[in-house]
Amino acid sequence: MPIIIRLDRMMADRKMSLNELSERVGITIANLSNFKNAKISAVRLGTMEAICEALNCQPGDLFEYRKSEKKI
Amino acid sequence: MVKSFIDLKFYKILRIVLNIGVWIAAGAFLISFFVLLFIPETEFNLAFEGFTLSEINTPETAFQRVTFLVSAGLMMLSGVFCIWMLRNIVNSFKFGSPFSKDNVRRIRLFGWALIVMAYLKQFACFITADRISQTLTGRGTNSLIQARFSVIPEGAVLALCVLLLAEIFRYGCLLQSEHDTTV
Repeated sequence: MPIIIRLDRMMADRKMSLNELSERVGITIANLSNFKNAKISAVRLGTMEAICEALNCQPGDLFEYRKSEKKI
Repeated sequence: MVKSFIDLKFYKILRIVLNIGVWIAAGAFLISFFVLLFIPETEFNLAFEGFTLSEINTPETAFQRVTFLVSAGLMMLSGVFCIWMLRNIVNSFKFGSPFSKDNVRRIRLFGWALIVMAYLKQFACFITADRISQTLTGRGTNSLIQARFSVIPEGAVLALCVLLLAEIFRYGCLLQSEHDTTV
């Protein structure tokens, strides 16, 4: 997928564990893990707001777009 | 909602009825088919919707016999298949949400089986009615029975509704999967 999720990097920068983030955001570790590993299709604005608040970051810090390379 | 549904007595009874029903239907299919195979060629009762024709004395050709047997056999087999699919759909409720790809496939197959059943029933009735009509004409009686093949039988309309429902269910399945992968 061309959208890369940078949640793990943000968590490492803030020295925050998945467990702690899960408690702060109020969503299950399983869902947060799916989000971190890009195994999701959508994120609710409410969840984004809670994650940004917990990590003190902008939504743009959590995502990165990379153009997919065409296979020849 | 689904969790409470599987706790209902109605669901438990429905499951038992379908689980037993599928075996009864399979047994009935085998018995009926063997009875049809070895029934005396010239005399049998015909049960239609609303009335029965008893002791019909009609000769039949080998082609008529084979086509009748094949269409009646396949029709009964489709009926058993429909009950089998219903049983699987009802059983799937136990494993959580009914919105799964397997259930979409089951509803679709159920719809196609209903279509097959509707046309085979028409075909079997057509063959029988034609045979009776020919016999009566052969005896010099003016036949009041005329074989008629309906292009869209009642069962086919019902089957189309089921296929439409399968498409709606497929969309529901898509929404469920999207909901499950949203954080």
